[in-house]
Amino acid sequence: MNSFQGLLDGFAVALTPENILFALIGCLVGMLVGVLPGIGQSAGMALLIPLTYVLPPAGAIIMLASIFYGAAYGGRITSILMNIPGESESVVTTFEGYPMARKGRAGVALSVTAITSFAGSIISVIVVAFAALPLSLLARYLGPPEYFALMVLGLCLVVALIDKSLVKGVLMIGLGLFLAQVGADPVQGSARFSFGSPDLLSGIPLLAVIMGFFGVSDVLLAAGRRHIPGAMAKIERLMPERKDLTDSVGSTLRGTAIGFIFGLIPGMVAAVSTFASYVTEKRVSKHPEKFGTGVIQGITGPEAANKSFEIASFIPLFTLGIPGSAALAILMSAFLIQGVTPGPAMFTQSPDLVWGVIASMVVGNVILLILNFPLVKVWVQILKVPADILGMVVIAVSVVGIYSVNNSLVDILLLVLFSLLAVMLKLLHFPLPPLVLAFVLGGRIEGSFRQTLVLSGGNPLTFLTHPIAATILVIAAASIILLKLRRKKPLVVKPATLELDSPANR
Amino acid sequence: MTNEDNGVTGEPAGHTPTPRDSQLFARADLIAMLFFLVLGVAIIFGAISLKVTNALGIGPGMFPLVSGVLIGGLGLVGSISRIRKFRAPASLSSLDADAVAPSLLDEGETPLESEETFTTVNWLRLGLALALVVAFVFIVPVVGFVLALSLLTLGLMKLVARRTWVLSIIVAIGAGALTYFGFGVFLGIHMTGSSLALFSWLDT
Repeated sequence: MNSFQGLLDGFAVALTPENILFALIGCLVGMLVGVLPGIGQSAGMALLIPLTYVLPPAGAIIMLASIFYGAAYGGRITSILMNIPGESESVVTTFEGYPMARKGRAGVALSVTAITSFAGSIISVIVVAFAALPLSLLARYLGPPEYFALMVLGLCLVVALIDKSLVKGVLMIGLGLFLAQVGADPVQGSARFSFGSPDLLSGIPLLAVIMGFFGVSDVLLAAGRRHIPGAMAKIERLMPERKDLTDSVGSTLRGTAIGFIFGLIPGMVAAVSTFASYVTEKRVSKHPEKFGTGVIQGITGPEAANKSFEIASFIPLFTLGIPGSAALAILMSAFLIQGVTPGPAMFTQSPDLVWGVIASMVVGNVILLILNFPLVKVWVQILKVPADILGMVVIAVSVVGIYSVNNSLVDILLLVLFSLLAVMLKLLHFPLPPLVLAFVLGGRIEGSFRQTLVLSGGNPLTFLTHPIAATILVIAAASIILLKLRRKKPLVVKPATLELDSPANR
Repeated sequence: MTNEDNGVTGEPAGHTPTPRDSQLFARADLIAMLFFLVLGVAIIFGAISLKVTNALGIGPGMFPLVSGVLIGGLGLVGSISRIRKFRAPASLSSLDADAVAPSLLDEGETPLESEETFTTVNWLRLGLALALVVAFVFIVPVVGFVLALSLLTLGLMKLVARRTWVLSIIVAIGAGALTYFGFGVFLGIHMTGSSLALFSWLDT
């Protein structure tokens, strides 16, 4: 099967009424969590993951994937209207979006970014569709040592690129790996750190970790928030002028390319691509001094980059089986729940599923364009629903969701434990994405490590005798050393003078 | 057009960290690092008891050992750097730990603007929310899952979100009905029933 045929077959899956409905549900939830500051895409995905146990595989994955890229659309609304970015990648959108809103062009900013987001997403989906299959064929030549090295690289990049302490980042990897080892040893079956509890013998439930670290803990922190949200700009006119659109073509294409390239790197954060796009737009502009006053290219480029990044980040997951972020780790866990292991074999073992998900990204983005252009005022109304009421509902839904999988009350107690732990870790600025990534990948990392040693007769130096694995491990070590040593200041961006002090800008 | 003309009347809210925030953060940060140090040592001992190597090459304790070394080792590094920061002169103690002990592995942080801090979190509400979920686990066998969930939602709405009784009861009944029909009837998921005959009609 070639890519074109695969994509056509994928549309046959994605365009069934049932899967369109799942895409719509995913887009609605994604928009909701994107619009509401404090609840991220990971939390939204975590909340709906219990449903994947009872849904058909294609519908379940399409729904979660729609939340993943749908949240990126929602984040820009509060950035433009309230100067409050829903996610870190939407910070850049406040630089020009909020000044546009102050000039009475909030509606234009929202509609133009909806169109450029759609364009960036569709271009990226086409590239993913035609690049994923050839890359997956190449990936089949990789063995256990290379996979081990790639997973280590993914974890190292997540730690290196997150703007947090290196010590805390690596500590979270250690904790995630440890949590993944609780339960029966995969080779000998002996109990590890289960403390005699039969509930822990099958391991710590994935949902308790994901929902505790991203769903309930986010809500608990938001429930106690004493901040008063800023005022919201009014939307007067939605339709952009012709000049707004023509001015946005170049920035959209540049942003799409930048976002796509950054999205291919496992562990990369979308915020870096949006910052890079903003820097690029300012550098190519004939009037860089106007940046910070509501320049349309300053929002269309980063927004296209953001969406392109999200779509491109599916490539490492589909071709190598390596999730580049916590949200993709949750998506990967949904694949595993359905009995499908993400990776190069997926294109031959589950072609309907993988092509259906790729094609559904087109369907999902059409839905999101409709939700974000003519229906954008509906989302503005949702912002007026008290966040604490939504938060309480989220906790109740989490409890039902986690219980529905195993009918286990112990899982709910673990949810409480991990939620409390997550609150403390977040307050102390421990980065949680490395923990969740390490937890999801822990079993596979250990498996490939042990396989490699068995194949080499127990020689630990075998990783250095495999040139690809050795090169990847060197890159992993170098990424941490170089990125952390060179970062002396936190990421600081000033829209007017633009000082982007991050490795991506050096 | 002025800001007010567009309804933009305020800047986004944010929390500027106070000296108390920084003090609490520094102490809690040290306690966390000491906790990870102890946890790492415990994992190392546990891993050794599981056997690190065996006839197949590596035993079930190998990977836990790696995790334990990572956690304990970095907990030690973090603890030392934070203790050094506490002992530094007052003029330096308010600075980032990098200023005191700059190195790749020796980093410290202070609360950043607009991030949650120990003083912005409403600990009473947070504790209440978690306590209600724990209580929920214990009342499920008595009243059944659906009714327990309604009671949980009622408690969350009334005690944590501090909403009116009317709104709280409406949301609680809605949550219970959604669970019963959505999960129980539509998805066919079995939920723990009540031990009391009075509530047995709610069993799914």
